[in-house]
Amino acid sequence: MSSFPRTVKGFFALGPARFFRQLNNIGDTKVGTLVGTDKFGNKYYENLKESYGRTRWIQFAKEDSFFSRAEANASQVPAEWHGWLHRMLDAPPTTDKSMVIPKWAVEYTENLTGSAKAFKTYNTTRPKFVAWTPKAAPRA
Amino acid sequence: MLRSVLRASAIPRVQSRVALPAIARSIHISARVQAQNVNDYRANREKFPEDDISTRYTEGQGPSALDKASQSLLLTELVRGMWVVLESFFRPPYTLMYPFEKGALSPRFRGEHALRRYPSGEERCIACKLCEAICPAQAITIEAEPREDGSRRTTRYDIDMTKCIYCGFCQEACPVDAIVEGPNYEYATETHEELLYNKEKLLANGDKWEVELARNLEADHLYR
Repeated sequence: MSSFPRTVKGFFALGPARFFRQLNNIGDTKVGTLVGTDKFGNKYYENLKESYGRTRWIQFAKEDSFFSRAEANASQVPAEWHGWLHRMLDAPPTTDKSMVIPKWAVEYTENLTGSAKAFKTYNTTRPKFVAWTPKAAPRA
Repeated sequence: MLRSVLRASAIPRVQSRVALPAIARSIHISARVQAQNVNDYRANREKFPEDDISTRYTEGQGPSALDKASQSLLLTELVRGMWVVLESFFRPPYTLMYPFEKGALSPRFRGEHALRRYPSGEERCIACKLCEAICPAQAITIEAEPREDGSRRTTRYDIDMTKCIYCGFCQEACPVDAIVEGPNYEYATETHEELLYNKEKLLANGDKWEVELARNLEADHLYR
């Protein structure tokens, strides 16, 4: 909670549901325009009147709540929106015509560490040594 | 005295340069030594008047002993310091509420590695091993073989991400823009083993991040 007047203003601008939701995860009331939604359901907001560095933010689709364990994760931002959220790009992917998604692009995944799908390294070369199987010549 | 206290407790400003302490001033450099040492600016102070600190405050211009004594006795530095604290108290906080708000990144940011592909889907890496040679941490291991169609490709491209120092030499050395350091830095893992990337993982990273990798390379193309 940044300041009392800002929080009260946020309550009336956001409504009670979004107000308590934001206080529960962002810890601040942030009012802005919805810029877009990605394929996972994360919502991206912008308010250029916010203080510097806090103008763009994300409302995660998976969210921490009072009843569920933490599921929101910083690595859930897909590559298309990553540059906009990190203020590398001016235009969001919804209006950016120059953004080219290659045909062979794979589905974005969050950081899967700790889950069963976590990356486990393996050898990509064929084995250089083959175990020797001794063959004894038959005795005369 | 009162005027000087009020002046001191107002908006903090550049601290006026105090005169040299008496002991330092008392050190006398004789005319003979000054004449020998031509490079001593004190000996040639008329040539460099702007460099000479002592010419800025001639006798009678600096704060008087009474001013200095009143400032230290009335703790004006403390009052000025607390005023800065009070100003910051009423300003909006600068705190960035990560991960909902994220810090600005440069297109040149050197994060997680990725192996890129050509628009056709063909992998770029030609196994020239320049990245392996230049890597100061020796984090890259490459093995190569001719492929079935005769083109030279890697069979092993391993990066130990725990050895890597993220200097970016590999992407600078790469002649075909195959190995790049992407914008992702949120790949922390629970085990060390997960950070021993092999070729498949690096190619998968490239396929995942190519949208942004291409944009970042494009943003930097004028400087390369």
